[in-house]
Amino acid sequence: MAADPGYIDQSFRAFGSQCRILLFAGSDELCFDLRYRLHQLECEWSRFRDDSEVSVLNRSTGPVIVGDDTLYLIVHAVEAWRLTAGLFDPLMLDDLVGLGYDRDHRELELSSGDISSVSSRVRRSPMVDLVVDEPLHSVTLPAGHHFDPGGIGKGLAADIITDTAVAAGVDGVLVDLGGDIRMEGNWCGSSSWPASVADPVDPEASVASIDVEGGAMATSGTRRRRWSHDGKVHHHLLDPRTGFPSASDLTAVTVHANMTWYAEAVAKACLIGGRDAAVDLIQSKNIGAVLFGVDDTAEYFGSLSAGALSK
Amino acid sequence: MTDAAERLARLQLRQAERLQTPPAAAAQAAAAAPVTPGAVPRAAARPAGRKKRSHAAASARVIVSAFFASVFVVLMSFMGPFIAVEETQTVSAAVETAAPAQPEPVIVEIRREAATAPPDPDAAVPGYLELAPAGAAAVATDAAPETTAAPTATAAPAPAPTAAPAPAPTAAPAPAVTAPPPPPKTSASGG
Repeated sequence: MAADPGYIDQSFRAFGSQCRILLFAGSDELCFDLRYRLHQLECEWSRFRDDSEVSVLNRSTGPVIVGDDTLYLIVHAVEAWRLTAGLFDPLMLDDLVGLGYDRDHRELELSSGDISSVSSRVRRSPMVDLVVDEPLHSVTLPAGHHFDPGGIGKGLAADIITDTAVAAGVDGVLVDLGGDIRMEGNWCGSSSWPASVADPVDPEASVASIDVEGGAMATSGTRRRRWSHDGKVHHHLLDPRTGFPSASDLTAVTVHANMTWYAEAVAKACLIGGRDAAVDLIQSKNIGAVLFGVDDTAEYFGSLSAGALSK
Repeated sequence: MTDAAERLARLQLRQAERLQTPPAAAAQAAAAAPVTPGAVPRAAARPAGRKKRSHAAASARVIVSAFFASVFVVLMSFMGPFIAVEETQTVSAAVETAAPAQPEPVIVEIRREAATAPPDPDAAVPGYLELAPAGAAAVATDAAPETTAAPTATAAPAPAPTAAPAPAPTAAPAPAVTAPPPPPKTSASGG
């Protein structure tokens, strides 16, 4: 019989990504319940399931009464859009589908080529027409637009699962949903967590590691999830200002904040906004970040500053 | 006197007494008179002018009366007015409202309707969050953050509780970790 390692570490697939739940002083029953809760959230939020609340919302032509979880998601998506001055836009699903991203990313015709040239058109954000009535749990999407939970859905799910585990009394918890991670409590009895940042080109390798006092880390990048459509190469991070894949001078951004959904939104906004806009955003929010440029350079800020990193 | 003369005299005397005495006295007189074979004593006690009825006729009349009474009650119960009671109105209040105009018994119909009608998209519902443009197309460098610290989830509604019952926090110390697990790593694979 194998000795008890002192923790529970389970890896599985959810939200279309490889996921992991690590519990210190937890139980198998609690881990099962957390995975079940995660499955519930995926069933409610996935746009690839016809019976999800998000799919029902996207098929509607008027107000829709949604559940607590979906309302929680949409309220946070609106907040992320507002905090990033529109650089994070959850209503770009139609633009994404128009570019050929109409199925799970594993089924796309992947490509590693360069991104096609970007149109100079100006896009008006439909978020200004989104109506959310929190007391009534009513959501009205702008006509002709659809909601894409995207990365913020995974980030928010990681926060919900982590908070649930902490409330259950675990000593430490790590929730990793496809690279969006949240850490709370103690790691092997210590409050310092040895987090690492994956190489944007080779995710199996790490470019840096840092000890953090918990919190959340999220990374957005354009090196992966590229596909060919109509003879052009696209990636999944669209610029809300144009409706086309971002032509930023950054290829990846890692953000360290206290909440995963927020780290995810800021990382995406920094990547789309470009290096100069990203620096201003990071410094104004007083958060840690790593900016990877197209010229293979890396800049470290805040809690992820170069002094704390060890490569 | 002959028998015929005697019988005639007695008959005349009885007729005269009947005309002059009340029915009770006549009955006493008749009872005192010699009983003639074949006569019925009860017939003398029957009030004047009342016809004799049979038991069968009386029973039939009772049955018919009861039948029509029951038919009337049934018809009234079915033809009574219906009162629609909204879900927000108590049954007693509805009855009190309708009772003055309906002296006969009323039947209350409970009509369950939707507690809340679907929202009217054209109606101005208080509490709507109207999202202002707020420079949606502005670049991040021009965006003035409203808060310097990262937001927390406390402002948003709490998510639904998990199906799992939350066990009480363990008072026992965490078990020792014999071998550390792989450290966490963030990557862009999540999208």
